[in-house]
Amino acid sequence: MSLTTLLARSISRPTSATHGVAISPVLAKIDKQHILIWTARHYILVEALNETRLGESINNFPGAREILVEVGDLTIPERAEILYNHAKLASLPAAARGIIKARFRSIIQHPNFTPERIRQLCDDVLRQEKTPTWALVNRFMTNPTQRWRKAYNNLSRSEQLLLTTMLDCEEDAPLKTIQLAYEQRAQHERDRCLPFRPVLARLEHSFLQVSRTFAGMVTADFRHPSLRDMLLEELRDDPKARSRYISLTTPVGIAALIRGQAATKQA
Amino acid sequence: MFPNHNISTQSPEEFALLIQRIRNLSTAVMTASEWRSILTAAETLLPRRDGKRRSPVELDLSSLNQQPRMQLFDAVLRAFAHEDTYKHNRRYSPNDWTPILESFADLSLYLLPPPILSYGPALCTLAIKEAPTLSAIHLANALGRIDPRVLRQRIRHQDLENWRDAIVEALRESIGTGEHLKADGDATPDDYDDWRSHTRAVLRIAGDFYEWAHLDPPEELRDLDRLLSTVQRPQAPEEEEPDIPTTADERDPEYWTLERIFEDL
Repeated sequence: MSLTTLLARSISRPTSATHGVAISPVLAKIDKQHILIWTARHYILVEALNETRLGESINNFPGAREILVEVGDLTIPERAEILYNHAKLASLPAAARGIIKARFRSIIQHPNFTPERIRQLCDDVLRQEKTPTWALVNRFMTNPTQRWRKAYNNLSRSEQLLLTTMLDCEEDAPLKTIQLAYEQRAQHERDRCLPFRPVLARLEHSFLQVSRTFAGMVTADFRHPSLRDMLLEELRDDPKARSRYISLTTPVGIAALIRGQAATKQA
Repeated sequence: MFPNHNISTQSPEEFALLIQRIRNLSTAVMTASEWRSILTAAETLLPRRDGKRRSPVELDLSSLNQQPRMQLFDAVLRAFAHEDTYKHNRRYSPNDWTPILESFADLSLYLLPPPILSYGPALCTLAIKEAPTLSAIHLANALGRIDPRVLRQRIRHQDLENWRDAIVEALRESIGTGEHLKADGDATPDDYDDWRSHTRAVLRIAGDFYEWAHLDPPEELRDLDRLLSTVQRPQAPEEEEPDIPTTADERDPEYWTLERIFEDL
C-alpha cells in the first residue's frame, strides 16, 4: 500500500477514537524517500512547500489545496465520536455531562465545530466551570477566540509584549532568540518591562509551551496556533500596534509581512 | 475559505515603513537562514500559474515592475545586493553564501535592470582562498550565474586546475561507492539514497563548473552519469499490510445511533 493511500485512509477521517492507531502505519512508511509534512495551519504548509521547493522540483507534486484535510469536513457520526471522546476523557462533572447529553446535536452541527475546539470546550471551559450552562457552551462555540482574548487582555504589559514577540520568531524558536527579540522590543516600551525569564514562567502552560529538542536546545511556541491567530487579529484591528510591530519586528517578522502582502494580493 | 493567518500593511504609510525596514536589512547582522527566509518570502510576490512561478520570459517585466508589490521585491533584492550586507555578514561560510546567492541569481531575473551584486568580487576571493573543495567550486558556480565577468577577472589558470583536480577526485570517489553498491548484495535503500543524492549534487556542481570554465569534461563525468542510471535501488524488506481500523460510520449504522453514542457519558 502506498504512503499516499495510507494517508488518505487514515487521516482523511481523523476521528479521535481511531486516529492514533490509524496513523502509526503511515509513520512506519516514512523514510528518506517519503516525508510527511503535517500541520494544523494552511500557511505553514505553503511556507514548507516554498522553502523546500518540492512543488517545483517534482513535476506532478500536488498543490497545497489538493492535500488539505478540512477538519470541518467530518460526518455527523465522526463529530459525535470526537465530542464523546473528549467529554469522556475530560471526566466532566455531572452538570456538564448533562448539557452535552441534552445538546449534543447542536454542538456537533455547529458551523464552528473543529476537533481542537471541542477539546477546548471540554478541557478548558466545561471542566473549569462550576456551574456550566448551555448559554456558556453556545457562547464559546459562537466566538471561540473570545476566551483567549479575555485572558490576553488581563495580562500585564510585559506578558503581552512577550506574546507579540513570539510573532517575530520562527515556530519552536530557541529561547535565546526569543529573549533577544523580547529585550529588543522591551527597550522601546514607555514603562519598564519585567525580565524575560519571569514573564516566560508566567505564560508557560497557559499561553506558551516550552520544549527541549533531541539536541538539547530549549525552545518555546504558542500552546495552540489559534492563539497566534488571535494576536494577528489584535494587530489587524489596531493601526498603532501594527505600525509598532512593523517598526520593531525581526527579519523573520519582515519575511512574514512580505508573505502577508503576497497573500493579500492573491486574495 | 481559509482564515487569514498573515499580517499585511493596511495603509501607504505602513507600506512605506515596511519598505524602509527591508532597505535597512543590509545594515543588520543576520543569519544566512534569515536571508534565505526573506528571499523565499520575496519569491511569493511573483506571479504564479497553477501554483508554479512563471518564468521571466513569459512576463512583461516592464509592467510587472510597475506593480506596487514589486517595490517590496525590489527592496529585498537591492538590500541583499548592497555592499553593507557583505560587511555585516563576513562570517558566513561558502556553504552559507551559496544557497542564498542561487536564490538571488534566480530572483534578480525579474527586475529591470537586474541588480548588481556589489560584493561579488569579495565572494570570488573567498572561494579562491578556500581549500579547493566542492563547496568553494559551488560558490564560484553561484557567482557565475550572477555575473560571470567577476570569475573571468579573478580566477587564475592555477585556481581552475586546482578545482578541476578536486572535481575529478570527487567524481572518482562517487564512482567507487556506486560500483560497490552495484556489487554489494547487503546494501540498504538508505545507502543507495545517500549515494544518489550526493552523486547528483557532484554531477550538478561539476557540470556547471565545466560549462563556465570552458574546459573539456573528464571521462569520469560521463562514467558517473552512466553509473547513476544503472545502479538499482535495493529492495526494502516486505512489510505486512497494516489493518486500518474502521470509523464509526463504517460500523453498523442501525446500531450506532447518535443517542447510543452518548448513552454512557
